[in-house]
Amino acid sequence: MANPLKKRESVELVKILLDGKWYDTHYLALAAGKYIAPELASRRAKTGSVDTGRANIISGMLEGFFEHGRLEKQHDGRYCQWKLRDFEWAKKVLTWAGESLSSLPPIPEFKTITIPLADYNLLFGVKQAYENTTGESITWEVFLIRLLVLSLAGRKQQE
Amino acid sequence: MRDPRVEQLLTREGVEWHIEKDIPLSMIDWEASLKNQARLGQALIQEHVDELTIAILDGVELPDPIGYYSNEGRVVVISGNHRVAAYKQINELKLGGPIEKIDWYIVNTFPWKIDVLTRTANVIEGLPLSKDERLEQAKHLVRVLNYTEVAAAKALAISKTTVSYALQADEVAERLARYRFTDRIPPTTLCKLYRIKQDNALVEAAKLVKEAQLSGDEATEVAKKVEAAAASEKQQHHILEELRRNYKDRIARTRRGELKRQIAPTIKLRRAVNAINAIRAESVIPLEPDLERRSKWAVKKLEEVTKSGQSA
Repeated sequence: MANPLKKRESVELVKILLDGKWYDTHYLALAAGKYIAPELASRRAKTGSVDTGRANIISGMLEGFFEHGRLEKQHDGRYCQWKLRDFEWAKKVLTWAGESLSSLPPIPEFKTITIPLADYNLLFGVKQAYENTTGESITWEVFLIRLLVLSLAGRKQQE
Repeated sequence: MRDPRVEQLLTREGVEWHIEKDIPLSMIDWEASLKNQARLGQALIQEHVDELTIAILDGVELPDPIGYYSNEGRVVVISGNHRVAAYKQINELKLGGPIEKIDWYIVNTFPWKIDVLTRTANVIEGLPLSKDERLEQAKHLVRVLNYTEVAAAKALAISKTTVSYALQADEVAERLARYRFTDRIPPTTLCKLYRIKQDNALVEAAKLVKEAQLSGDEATEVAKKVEAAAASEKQQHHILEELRRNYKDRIARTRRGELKRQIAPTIKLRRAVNAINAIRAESVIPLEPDLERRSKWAVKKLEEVTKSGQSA
């Protein structure tokens, strides 16, 4: 079974509760539940409602944390409230989340460049010729880096 | 069958892709494929699978599905679950000659990009997502995958304004929930209060909107006036008191149950159509109480709209 803490919503939940204040289930369901994928949420509600599904998932998550002694729970009239009890655990969760994120390969930043069509066709022709020679299919990114390296190496030789 | 629209989409999205012929159906990771579908509620609509099954048996060639290889070396569907389910159905029910292998568009890219493609590919092919489904997926792209509102709207083929308003309405609902304001206000009205940045004033304005059953335009006016007085909390409070006095009669009528929120006929019609669309053939028998209620409501609303149209 997947570790529930690997999910963004549980990390967001812990982040909100970290200030040690009481929070209503309804608020937590909106604030942390919005990170749950809508299709997963809708399948967790009898009516297919995304909001209800998110509330169900967050509510289940809070109950789970409460049973493991991580949170405190109280009923305040019609509202059910939650407060963080195990701060060490919360810190571990957030440290773990931070480490996991930093160990992930970075999401590349795509930038669109505009070049004349003639230049593009020329580059595309060179890329195809290169692929035919080496016998390997490469991405544009790799091709342009290799081209740059070759160009720099050529300039150094000339000097 | 190759589909130029799919090829354009994959190329435009900047992913590496190729066509792989004759991949056995047994290679499909069906569980993972159904799990990652963008459709809300049921991942598969049996009625559509049946339609595709009939089409295949009639000799119609369907576009090749899009998939990727999982770490276990199995193919997971990005787009084309209904098509693949139809091929499986033909085999399982022995409706025609067995289909053991099909051609695929195989994508090789980052997991987050696969996630995006899964949510957006239905815009150009397959059974389209409803507007509500597309809006939910667009919001997810903005929140979780850091898409800009413009990019998310474009990817899901909806207007940027719709995405912005929906995100604003959610943010207002979240701020109100923090102060235990849980009364239901339609998102189209809620987003008009977004411009009020002070939480206390927002809660008071929301109470007024609810109690006086204000329309979206009226809520915009309230928000403008409250925000114009943002420099002083006292002045904001004064403005809200004044507005409350102005709407005194409306509030009293709402309390007596004489005033209900007016919904434009076009919105009523859209809701009715959505409710009818939500009733899918496979779930009608046996008719569940909730579906029965929704269908009765939908028919009633349609009748109302028809009557108001005739009288106009």
